[in-house]
Amino acid sequence: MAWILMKALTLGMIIGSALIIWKALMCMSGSESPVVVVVSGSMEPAFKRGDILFLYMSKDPIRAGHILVFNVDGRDIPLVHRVIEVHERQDTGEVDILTKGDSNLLDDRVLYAQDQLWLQRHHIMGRAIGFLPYAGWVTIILTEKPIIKYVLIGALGLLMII
Amino acid sequence: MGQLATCYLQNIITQFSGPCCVSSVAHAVALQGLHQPSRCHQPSLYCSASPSPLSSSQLSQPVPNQPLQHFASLWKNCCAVPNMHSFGYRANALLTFGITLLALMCGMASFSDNINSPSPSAHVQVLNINWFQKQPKGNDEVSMTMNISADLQSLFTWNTKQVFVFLAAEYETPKNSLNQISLWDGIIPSKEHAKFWIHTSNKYRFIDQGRNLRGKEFNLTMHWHVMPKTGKMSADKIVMPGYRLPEEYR
Repeated sequence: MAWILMKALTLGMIIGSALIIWKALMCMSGSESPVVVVVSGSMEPAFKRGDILFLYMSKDPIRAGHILVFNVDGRDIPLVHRVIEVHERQDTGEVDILTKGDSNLLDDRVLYAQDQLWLQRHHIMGRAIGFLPYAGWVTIILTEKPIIKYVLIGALGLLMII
Repeated sequence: MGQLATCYLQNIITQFSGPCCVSSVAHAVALQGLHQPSRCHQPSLYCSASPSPLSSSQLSQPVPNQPLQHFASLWKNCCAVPNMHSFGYRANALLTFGITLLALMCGMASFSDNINSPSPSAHVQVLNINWFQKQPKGNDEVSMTMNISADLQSLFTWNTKQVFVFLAAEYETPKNSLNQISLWDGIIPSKEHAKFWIHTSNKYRFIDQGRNLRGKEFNLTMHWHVMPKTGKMSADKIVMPGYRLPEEYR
């Protein structure tokens, strides 16, 4: 009985510290998702599928050439593309942004919502400032083949019990 | 024989119970309470101190009644884990160490990029304004042919995967404090390709938000983004001022 509690405590501590680290990263980067995995090949050869990007969100102005991670209404996964056009208002400082993937032929207007011509600041999750190659393959495999996720959780649970 | 088995079990439990420094210390404390000679030294990857041998020469005694020792003996007797976990723990420790080392190496590689001090140069010549019209929706559009030449060889280091270079037209209008429109971009995969001269019309359409382009003065800015093999990306630019669009539509 006592050792079950000990194991549960250890597990709780591991999960707790992972959560603390994640929340701290969220605070430091100012973004709701400080680390993202590149899932499409539209930014090759710069970022390949499976790379991890570190994001940073600040009040700094957005300029052409920045690589942004942004959400489009109606799409569930965010996109990672480069800014090719910026129009910044005189008075309010709001921006209209047009993006394009490096290896795409057309700009992203085909991917935006119906009748949407520009992105605004509230669409943007963060700006990519650094990356780690290949480190995101685990996430891609777990997402695209969910059976492996269940097998992994099952094996971990079994190890806990044995 | 019994003591050897106990020692073996203690080592397994010490390995299995998480942060090993904490558990070793706790284990040494528990051992002191049990008056057992500690011949179980467990060197590990993260601990600097192993449990110190006790000077007591007493043999193991029956379990006393205090709660700490009772708990320790429960732990010892109930947690007989099979050998496979010790291999698993070692593999896990090795993997974590390997990944930490790799991350450190990536950080150092990225840091080495700061040592490089680049001296790039660029020049753009606008040869011809192909056409300059008002779109049906009311925005101005212009198409031009340019000669673009640049030498970006000094930007490349051993940690550079590619350099993304683009030419942007930048200007101000009454409504917008800044407009940046990318006219051309390219990817430079290696140092040999970094010194180039191209003759091209604008790859992307130069369309204004409005009808402000007649007689407009604008800067052509060459931006580059250095993409490392691993680590922090950096960017810089060269501003070339003094370009001007025609006063009338053509």
